[in-house]
This record gives sequence, C-alpha cells and structure tokens, in this order.
Amino acid sequence: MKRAALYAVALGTGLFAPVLVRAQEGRHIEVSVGGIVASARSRVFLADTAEAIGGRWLGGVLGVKAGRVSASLTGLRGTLSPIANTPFERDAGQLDAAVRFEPRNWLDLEAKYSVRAFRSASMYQRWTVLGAGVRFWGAVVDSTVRVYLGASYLPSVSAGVQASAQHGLGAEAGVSANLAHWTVALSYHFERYDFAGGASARLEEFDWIGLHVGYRIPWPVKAAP
Amino acid sequence: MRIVLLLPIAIVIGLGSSVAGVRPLAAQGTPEPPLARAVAMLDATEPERAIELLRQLLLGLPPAAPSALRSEAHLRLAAASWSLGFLDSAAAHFQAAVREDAFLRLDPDVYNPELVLAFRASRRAIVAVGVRPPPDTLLDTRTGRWPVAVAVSQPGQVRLRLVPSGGAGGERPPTVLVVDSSATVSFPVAAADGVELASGQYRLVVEYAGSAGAAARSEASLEVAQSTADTLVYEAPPPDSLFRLEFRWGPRSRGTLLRGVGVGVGAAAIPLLLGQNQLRTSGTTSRALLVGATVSVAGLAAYFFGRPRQRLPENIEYNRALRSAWEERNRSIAATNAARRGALMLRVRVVREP
Repeated sequence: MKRAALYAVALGTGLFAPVLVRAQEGRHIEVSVGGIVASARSRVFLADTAEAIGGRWLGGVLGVKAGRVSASLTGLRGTLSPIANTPFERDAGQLDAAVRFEPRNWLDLEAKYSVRAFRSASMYQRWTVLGAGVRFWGAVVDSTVRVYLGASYLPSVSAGVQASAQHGLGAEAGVSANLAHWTVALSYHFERYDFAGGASARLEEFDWIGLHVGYRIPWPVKAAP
Repeated sequence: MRIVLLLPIAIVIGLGSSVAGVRPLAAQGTPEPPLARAVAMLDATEPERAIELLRQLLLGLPPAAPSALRSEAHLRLAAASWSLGFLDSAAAHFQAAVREDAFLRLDPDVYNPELVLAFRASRRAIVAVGVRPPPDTLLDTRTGRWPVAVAVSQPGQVRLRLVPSGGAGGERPPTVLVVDSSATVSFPVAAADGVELASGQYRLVVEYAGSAGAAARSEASLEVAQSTADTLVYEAPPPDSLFRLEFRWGPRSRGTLLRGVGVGVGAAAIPLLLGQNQLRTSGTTSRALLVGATVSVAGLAAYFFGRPRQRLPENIEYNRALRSAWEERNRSIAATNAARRGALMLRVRVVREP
C-alpha cells in the first residue's frame, strides 16, 4: 500500500512536471521568508486512554514562487507539555517540504512531504508523511485578503510506534492578508491517523493553529531578448 | 532733380534697414560702434557725417576683420553716396561689398527700386565668387552628400575642387557647373570608384570664369575626420496624467460575505467532521472556532467596509496601448541607435585659414 502510494506520487509528479515547467516560464520569481508562531496539540487514543500533549511552536518558512508554481520549506520546533493522561513532556519538531501548482487563482494543488519527531526522556518517535491536497481560495477584499479551505489525503504514513498507519486525512482553513510585500496569515491545520492493529489499534490526531508573518522579496530576472 | 527727389525716400526706406544677406549688427557677437553710429546718422538723415564715419571705419579695419562687416560697411557707404548723388563712388562701394560677399542681395521690397537697379548693375560689372560650406556636418561615408552654396556676380562657369592641404595627393576630380546667380552643389563624400574621403585637412577651391573671361577664386579650409553618429535619446515614459483609471469601486458583494462566512464555518467544522469521538476535547473545538470566527469576521468586515474593485477593460486596454506605443517607439529608437553605431560617419568642419 505504502509503496503503491509512493509510486503514484512519483508518477503524478513526472506527468505533471512539463506542465509545471511551462506554467512558470517567463514569469518573475518571488522569494519569501517568514516566521510562524503556533500552538500545537497531539492526541493519542490507545488502550481506551486518550493522552494529550500541547505547547507552543516556533518556526520559519522559506518559499519560492515562479508563475503558478511554488515551493516551500517549513520548519517548526517546540516543547509539548502534558495535558491529559501522560506525565511526559516531549520536544517536538516538524519539517515540511511542499510543492504547489495553481491552475486557477481560486485553486491550488499541493504535494507535501513531512517529517515530524517527538522525543522525551524515555522515547523517540519519528513520523514520515507523504500527502497530496487541494486548497480552495476565495477573495474577500479583492486579492488583498483571501480565505481558504483545504483537504489532503495522506496515503503514506510511517511512524515509529508500531505498524504503519493505514492512512491519514488532513484539513486546513485560514485567512491571509497581502499588504505590499508583507503577508500575514492565520491558519488552522488538522490531521488524523488511523492505525490498524486489532486490540492494539491506535488513533492519533495532531492539530496546530499558527500565525504566519512573511516578507516577499522580488527576485530580479533578465527580460527575454 | 530726380536724385534730389529720391533722396529722402532712399534715406528713410533703405539706409536704416538691415541689409539682406548680411548679418545684422546684433548678431555679429561684438557690437561695432562706428558702424552703429553711422547707421544712426543715416537714420537721422545726416548722410555726410555717416559717409565720413564709414570711410574712417573701412580704413581702420584690420585685414582679418570679418568680410561680412566689411561688406556691410561698403554697402552702407554706397547707399549713402548714392543718396547724395555720388553715383560713381556708390558703384565702387557696391562692387567692393559684392567682392567681400558674393551672396549679397538687396531686397526690392525694402530698398528704393532705383538703388536696387544700381546695385545690380554694379554687381554685374565685376567678377566675384563666394562659397558657403556648412560649418559643421556629419555625413555617411558611403552615401553622404555635402551641400555647398556658391554665388557669382554674373553668369559663368564654376569649378569646385577639394584639395588636400599641404600638397598631398588624393585630390578629387573637380565638379564643374554653370551658375547664373547662386546654386547649391552636393558633393558626394565617396568618390565614384567608392573610395571614401580620408581624414585630414582640405581646401575647397572655387574657381570662377565670368562671361567676359575674367576669373575669380574663393577658398575655404576644411577639416575632415571620421566620427560616429549621435545616438537618439530614449523617450520618457508617458506621464501619469495620460493614463486612465483601470478600476472603480463597485457595490457591496454578497459573494464576499458568503465566502468569508462559509470558510469560517468550514474551519470551525473541521474537528467535528474529521476528528474522532474518543479524542474530541473542548480545546480542539475552541481552536477551530477561533480560526473560523476570525475568517468569518474578515468576511463580514469586507462586506461592510470594503467594496470590490471593478475592472474597466476599455481603460485597461487604452493604457496598455499607450504603454505598447511607447515601448514600440523606444524599440525603434534602439534599432536606429544600433544601426547608427555600426555606420561610419565623416565629420566635415570649416576651420580658419592656417
């Protein structure tokens, strides 16, 4: 299942590569940098017990946009403190690499690879997630303020807890304001993972709400002769 | 008796006016007080004193004095002499004026007709030639033609030659033409065999043979140098005042409200739709509600306080055409400049006699 999903993503990327390359030809390049303040929660349901940890995350994002194609690298790190049914505090971090294609100004398609890690005095967990998603945008004040709603399917989830999850689902929503070269955005991300395993079945949810402030740097490109 | 009658007319009409073909005093750079005083005396109907002053002026002029000044002084003197009835003296000074400047003409609308007739008769009685090359010209080495004006006092054959200074070789074949009064000759810069004019000092020699066989000659010194053509300056972008507004504020949009509130509700519903009952907590729901409320408030605020911008396609097209035309003109200038940079030019300048 996991291997098939990987093949599907690779095949899809290969098929779409010429479209993506054509979409950015002759367009100006835009580089953006930003910072993120987030509040993250992780919940696990295992053996009739729901554990919850949460805390503040800090991170940054580096993005490049050329025409309708963009790519970003997002890093977040923080400490998640116990909230319910667990005594363990965990250091946690996440790294996302995403590629987006915007066929319409109200739609973008995303492929994302995420690595998330939790570490405490007694354990270490590493998650690797591959996903594809769609996001719908709507302008509320011209193109200055836009809202979005998105969903993603995470067909390949590898977690260092037991057998891999069968699949994951994600959803997100937010609002972003573009002021000259600045972008301010508030977003909410939610992910759900179902692990098979009979008596040891495990459910996990991870969500975070983040405030993102970014600055877009116009990248000089030589005009075509 | 007739001369006596014409005197006041000649003084009033002719003497106070500037002379056709002669630069006015103000244009001569430095004012010439004796000549200016003489003109003032002629205007004040005191020709005797003016004649005396003009004679002193001509006697005192250095050999290097401009021929235009000398010509005007002779002309004034001739007109004053003619007004006093000294016709021979007038004819002599007319001829001296023409020798100094063969391009000299009297405007029949300004001068007394009999004075003009006398001037023409005096002019025809001598053999004089004048040449006026353009002071500074830039010409294409292959196709450029150099215009030179020639004036003669009576119909005759004119022979123009371009001779390298210092007796060096490379003299061009002469250009021969018959001139009735004045003419403009266009010299090709490249010779008939395609050989271009080499850089250096030249003399333009004009030899003239009048109808009676008498001859005259005039010269001008030239400097020829290779040069590049001036490039054109790019055109500035059209001023903002020429552009039209590309949008206007439209009425409130319910779509904006629906989008904002819809996405807000969707955000709040994410944990309910996607979350699992075993893991549902009030904290998760409240975080989603916070984002949902923020998005909804943004939609509400946009509906009540923001008005959508409506594009005005006609104005956008007009502005685009304005920019395109400007860009096209600058592209044309760039192409012209590129061609000019590639073309070799010759600069021909008139220089003072060595």
